[in-house]
Amino acid sequence: MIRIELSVAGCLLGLYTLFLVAMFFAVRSRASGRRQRGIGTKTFTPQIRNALADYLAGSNDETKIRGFARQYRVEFVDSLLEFRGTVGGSARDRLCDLALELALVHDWCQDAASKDQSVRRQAYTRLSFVCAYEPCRRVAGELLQAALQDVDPEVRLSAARALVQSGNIEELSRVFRLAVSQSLLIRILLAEDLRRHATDLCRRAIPEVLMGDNPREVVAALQILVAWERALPLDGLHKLLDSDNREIRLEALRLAKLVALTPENRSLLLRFLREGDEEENTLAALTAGRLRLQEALPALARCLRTGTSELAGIAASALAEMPPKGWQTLQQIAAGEDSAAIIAAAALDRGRRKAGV
Amino acid sequence: MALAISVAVQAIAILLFALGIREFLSLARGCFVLRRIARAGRQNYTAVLLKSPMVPPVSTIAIPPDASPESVQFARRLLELHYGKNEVVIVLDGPSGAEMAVWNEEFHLCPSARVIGKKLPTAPVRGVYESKDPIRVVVINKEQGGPVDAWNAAVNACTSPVIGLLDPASDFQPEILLRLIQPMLEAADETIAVCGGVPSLPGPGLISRIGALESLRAWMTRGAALSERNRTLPFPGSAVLVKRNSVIQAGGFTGGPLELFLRLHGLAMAAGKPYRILFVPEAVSQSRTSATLAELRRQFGRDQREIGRAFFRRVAIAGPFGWRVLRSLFYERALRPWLETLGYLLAIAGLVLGWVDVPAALLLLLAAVGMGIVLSMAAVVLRELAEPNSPDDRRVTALFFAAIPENLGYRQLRNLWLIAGFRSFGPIEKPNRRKTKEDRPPAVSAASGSV
Repeated sequence: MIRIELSVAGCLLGLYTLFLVAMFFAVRSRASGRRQRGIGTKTFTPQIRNALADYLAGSNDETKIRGFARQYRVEFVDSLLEFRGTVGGSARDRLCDLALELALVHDWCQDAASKDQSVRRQAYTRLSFVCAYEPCRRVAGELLQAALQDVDPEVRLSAARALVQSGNIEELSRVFRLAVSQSLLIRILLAEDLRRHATDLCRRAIPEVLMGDNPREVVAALQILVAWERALPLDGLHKLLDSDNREIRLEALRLAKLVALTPENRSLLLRFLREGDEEENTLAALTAGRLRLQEALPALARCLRTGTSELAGIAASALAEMPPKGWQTLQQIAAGEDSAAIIAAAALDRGRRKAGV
Repeated sequence: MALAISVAVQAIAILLFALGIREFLSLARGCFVLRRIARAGRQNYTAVLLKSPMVPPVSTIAIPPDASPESVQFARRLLELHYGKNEVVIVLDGPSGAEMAVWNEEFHLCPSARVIGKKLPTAPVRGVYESKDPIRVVVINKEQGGPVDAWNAAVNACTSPVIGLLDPASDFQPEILLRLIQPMLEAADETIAVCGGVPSLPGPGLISRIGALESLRAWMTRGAALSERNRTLPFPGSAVLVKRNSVIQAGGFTGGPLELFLRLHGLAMAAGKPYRILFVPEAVSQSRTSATLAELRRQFGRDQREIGRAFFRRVAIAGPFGWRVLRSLFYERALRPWLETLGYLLAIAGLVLGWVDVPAALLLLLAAVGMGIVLSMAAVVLRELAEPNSPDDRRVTALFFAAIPENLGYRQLRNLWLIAGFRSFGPIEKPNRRKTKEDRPPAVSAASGSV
């Protein structure tokens, strides 16, 4: 019996080992082949780069470039795309024009219809680069619009980034709406691209989302606006500051320093300083300091005296931003002997140094 | 007696075969997961994430045991990580005056007005310091309470929603936080933790290759294979990002990162809500290659002690889900070494006394050594199949053939280390005697809606 067990086990393990050894040699030869091929394919990369650099510098001799594009197409595309982060303006247009002329854009449009997710992703990533150039955008046509509905978020992202480059307000609005409905990662990436169109978006797309009834999207939109860190021509923020949803209120408070200070916003900020919870107090104090809101001096002084160390620090910094009355308040508090006095003295010192006094 | 020994040896051999098949299936599952991840690909957005103010801040924690140059160097490495909003929290657990002076000098510390919350119970904090230099570092000086207490004090001190746990004994890339936060941002609501890294690279000697094989198997089973069922556990050399709220809701640390993950799994399963603990197989962190047997043993001992501790406390940590999460780890790291060692002892004694015949002993050898070789070889081949873009055929060859000497001598020694390490984590704290009710983590059954 034991001999049979031993034989069966031995045979099975032996067969399995043989199988693994065969797999090993297959994997090894594949890896070795790839290494050798890798060495081979990189042979022409420097020449291709040089040819492209010459072309971008103004050379009109395309013979060499066409030769590389025909014989070493994959390597050529990789080299062309390496210039993605380094060229802009007319040089970029020239590069995109070259891609169009060599039918690379048409290839990518075909790849964009592939069922293979990785091929599709790659195609849209490449298209998002060349679509900064209007003739390329015309070739991509409706593809980019349709890709906003793709099941793969990476494809949606690339298509959105391509559309942003058009600067067309309708498309920008679509991308903004997409951004607020997607994951935080996509929102972060699109927020960067949309930043330069902030003013255009503030006319219609942003107010529409902010006045919508989806609190998640409202919060997402406010996060994007705050992340832009630029002054925005936005009306009606007071409605959001007065919202029942705490998350919306907090994001609106963060945004308040970037929009025009209307009487409604002003009174709501003062109310937050007086009546809000700790986080609202802190954000309101930050905003009051940034906007140099003189009416907030008494409330800021109260926050400095009675708030937590973080709130007290922010209130003191806000007061330090508002000389001379803010400094006088800090001086009065600094005369005391409690922890608020230490914070006030430090803030006053910082404020004076900053002002060069 | 003779018959009983002979039957026992055969039974152990069959059990070892069964465990080997189980481990192979686990490796194969890991291979499929790695293949899927490799095919899906992940774009690298670190440049945008580095600049964006929308990326959540991260607090990275250092719990230096002393003020040695290595400890200071580790804190410096954390400060040098590429991330927009990274705050380093250093907790000194009952430092002496001389140790405090070293930290003071290194970071030019001054007292901070920051108030440390008390969400997790810890030993009293003596002082909080920040640097006068333009670096985001917070140093907590607290009464001695042990490493777990120090971890919890660090969580209390953190102001960021995400906590980074990096292993001082591993090599990590400066952009590690950016690479690990990216998958977290893809599903920010559901993802409570991320565990990333790759196995250590084989060095020139046999010991380092054996170490690399161990690391590879742990990475494929504990990281990749378990992630298929959303039960990822930290593996040696991995780096972890975890949401601070989840740690607090879990009642803080009760041991190392493995116990924390076990508890997070337990609580999330008990709550019945969708959650994700992600495995990120990116080359951002890896354990250092062991050059000597002593180093290998030290690495093993540390890992095994953590596994043993988590296993014996699994019910307190994760309730009925503890066994479900730790089952495969128990078979691989506790049961198999015991069975192999017991089998060898019985077979040798049986052969000497004439109670066990040679074929039975050979069967055992086949089940232990033969299966061990096959598993290590399978791990190497499956990893290469999973990551078809790896161009390093020399690494594959070195690892593949190291599987043979690994199982002839080293494996038997390793079994003894594992057996010793599994129960050498020190006395288990009896919750009802040593801790007050408030100190204990909340019961898993009462955790619905949390995490």
